[in-house]
Order: sequence, then C-alpha cells, then structure tokens
Amino acid sequence: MRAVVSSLAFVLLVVACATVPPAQQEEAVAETLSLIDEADAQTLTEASARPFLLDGEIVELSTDVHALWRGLREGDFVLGDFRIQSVDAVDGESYLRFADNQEVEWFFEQHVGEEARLVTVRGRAATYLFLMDGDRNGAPYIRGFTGPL
Amino acid sequence: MTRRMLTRIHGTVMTRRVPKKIPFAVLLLGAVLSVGVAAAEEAEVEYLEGYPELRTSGGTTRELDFGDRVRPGESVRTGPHDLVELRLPGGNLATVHPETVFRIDRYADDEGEKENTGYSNARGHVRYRIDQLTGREQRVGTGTAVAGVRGTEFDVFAGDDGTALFAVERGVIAVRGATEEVELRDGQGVEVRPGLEPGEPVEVDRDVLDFSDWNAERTRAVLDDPLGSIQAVRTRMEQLAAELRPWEEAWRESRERLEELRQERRRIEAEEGREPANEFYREEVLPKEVRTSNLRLNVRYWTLSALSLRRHVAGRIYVLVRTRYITRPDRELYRNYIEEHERTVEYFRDVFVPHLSRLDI
Repeated sequence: MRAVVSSLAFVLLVVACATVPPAQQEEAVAETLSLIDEADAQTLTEASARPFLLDGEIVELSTDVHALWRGLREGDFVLGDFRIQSVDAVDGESYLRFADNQEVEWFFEQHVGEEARLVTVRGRAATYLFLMDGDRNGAPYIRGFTGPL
Repeated sequence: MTRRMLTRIHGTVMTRRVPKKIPFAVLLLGAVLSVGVAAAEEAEVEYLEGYPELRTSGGTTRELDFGDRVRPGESVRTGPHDLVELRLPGGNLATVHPETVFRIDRYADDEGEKENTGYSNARGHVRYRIDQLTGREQRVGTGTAVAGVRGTEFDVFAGDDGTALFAVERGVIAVRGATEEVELRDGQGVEVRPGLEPGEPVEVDRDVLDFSDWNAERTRAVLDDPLGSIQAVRTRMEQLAAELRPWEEAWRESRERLEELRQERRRIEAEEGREPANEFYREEVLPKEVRTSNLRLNVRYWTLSALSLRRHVAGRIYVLVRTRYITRPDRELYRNYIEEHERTVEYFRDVFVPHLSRLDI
C-alpha cells in the first residue's frame, strides 16, 4: 500500500512539474534571468518575447530588442547575484507597474497570457521588475523589463 | 510546405526559401509609398530571404511566405538577414531590405471621394521601381516626407532618428516636406529631417551608398543629441496632428449628418412607405455613408502614420537612450531627454490614441 501511495505521489509531482508554466517556476525563471549577465545580445534577443515592453514602450522589432540588450551592456548594466523577491500573477492592474497609459493596458490585454508572471528581482545594485511569459524549452521568455524600482 | 535551401551570398550563409510552384516571388520593403489607384490594392510576395514577418490588421504576427498577399492595414517587417520583393499594383516593384518596416494603407483623396493605396516605411530601406503609372501621379514618401513619382527607380531610406533619404537612380521625383518641394533627377538625392523641409539636392553615388553606414550616422546623431532627436519627432507628430484635425472634424460632422439622414429615412418609411424610403436611402443616405467611411479612412491613415512614428522612431530612440543611461539616470542630458519623451507620449495619447484600438497595439 505504501509503495502505491509513494508511486502515486511521485507521478502527481511529475505531472505537476510538467504542467506548471515555466514563468511560474522559480528555477526556470532564474535560468532565463541568468542569461542577462552571461549571454550576448543575440542570445538574449532569442530569449525575449515580442512585442516586448520596456517601461511604457512597446518594442515590436527584433532589431530593437537586440538594441535593447546591447544598449544595457554598453550602459554597464549588471544584474549581479540576484534574488527573486516575488512572483506575482498578472491581473487587470499589472500594466500600472510599467506605465499608466492606454497603450500599455492594451499591451497586457492583447499580448500577455494568464500564465505570465511579474517577477521582482533584487540585483546587486537595485531592484527590477521582469515580465516572464511563454515556454522556451522549459524556461520562460522575458517579455518585459522596468526599473530600478 | 515551403522548401528551404542554404545559399552562400557574398560569403554569408543565408537561408533562402524556394516557392513551390510560384514562378516568381515578390516582397515589400519598408518605406512610405502612395500609389494613386482607385481601389484598395494588394501586393504579392514574389521573392524572399530569411524569415520576414507579416503583421496583420488584426494585430497578429506571422512568418511571411512566397505568394502571400499584403493587404492595406498590414505591414512587412524584416530582420537583419531578411529581404522581400513585392509586386505592386500595375506591375511595379518594391524591394524591402533588412531591418525595415513596410506598411500598406488606404486613404481617400483630398475631396474624401476616391480611395487610394499608400506604401510607407517608417524605418529601413525600400527600393522602388515604378515603370507603369496607374492613371495619376504616384506619390512616394516616408513618415517625414512624400514625393511625386513619374516613372522611376529610386531608394527610400528611413533612419533611426526618423530622417528620410531619397536617392533617384533614373527618372524624376518631387520630394515634399511640410510645405516645400525639391525635384530630384538621375543620380540625385536629398535628406529630410523629421519636422523640417527637404535639404539641397546632392549628387549621390549609388555604388557607394550603403544604408547601414548612413543609418549608423543617424544612430550616432541620436546618442549625441537625444533631446534634439525627440524634439524633432515631436515636431513631426504635431505636423501629423495638423493633417489629422480637418479630417477628424469633417468625419464627426459627416457622422452626425448621416445619423440625421438615417432618422429621416425611418420617418419617411413610417409615414410614406418603403418605396420612398428606399429612394431616399439611395439618393441621400448611401452617398453620405460612403463619404463618412472615406473620411474615417483618412482619420485612420494619419493616426496610423503617427503610431508608426511613435513606435518605430520615438520607440527606437527611447531604447537607444534609456538603456545606455540606465546606470546614470541623473545625467542632465538624460533627464532633459526623458522629460521631452514623456511630453511626446502624452501628446500622442491625447491626439491619436482616441482613434486607435487594442488591435493596433
């Protein structure tokens, strides 16, 4: 009987992991965020969902997303040893954490799924907010970024 | 199913997609070109390289393929290794080069009577070959300037700061800014900065003209003077607002008059019967419906022109400047830029956003 229960619990655990979206798994989120300091702009562009949200700006083109990551590198941006402070579900007010305007509200309605998460990250120098969404080989895409908060 | 093959071009390995049974492939590039035709026209993809995207009027984005038709309200976006050749109405051609946003829009003539189709590129490089005119002068432009075309082959560049560069290989085009016009002939080119009039025509050696080099200068201009760059965009946005307002007013008036006519039709039907009501509809209501629709078309045209400027020029400038100053936000140059950027966004919100919908985002 105990063996059956253990097996069942194991199966449930595996099923749960397989069905939890990457944006809601802290390890998977951390895996994507670690690219920010480690990867080049091209890799980060591929790890970004489009349209992308930078503060209140909607970035549609891959060349602009690439310019964003390259610009952050040239601007000496480093996340450093980071700690995920919170992982919050997206709701009707989430757009306000990026910008209080109609375009950003529409952006969330049109492009951000229910499985997306707002991830608050404490980096070496400051705290930032990331919007994580989708599934890229088990890790989420970065769909938005704002900060320092 | 699209077949793909690897082709080595100029030492670079590129992915080329080969059409199944389409004899030739055309793609559209990203510059503003207005072609005077009586009805809404589509462009057909004759050839492409890489993985260009099509953004539909419904707000979705998908990979472009051979034989696809690009309709008014849609845009073609190319990445750094993409190329698209488009067959335009009348057998004309547009080649959309890498890192370009090319859009097709419909608009009505100055009387709000006839529909036309326009092409534009807010960013990047489009080469046009206009061999056949479609009954009237053909107009070409960018978000910054437009040009009359009389059978010609020319390039339209749109830089990171919104500057437009027209370069004619053969034929004649007349480039217009807000109020002034310059004529370009074989081998001539002209730059137009956002919000300003065209400069003096210069001789352009097309063999050495390279969009990447030219745009790198435009990018440097943004980084050297971010405040000046966003102020120029704001000026251009105000010019677009000035274009929008008369149409906005005419559309509102026409819509109100249309509602009055519809009420009158209902009264006639109730008091005099269906036949007189139908006659009233044909003679009074229907023409007003068509005119109101065309006026609305122009409200959308200028609004989408402003959206393109806001997204692909103001947005590009923001990405370039914001990221480079993320660890130095107290710099005066940056603070001044951000204040002007926010004013520009507010202006866009007040003037143009009321005419947008969620699907435009």
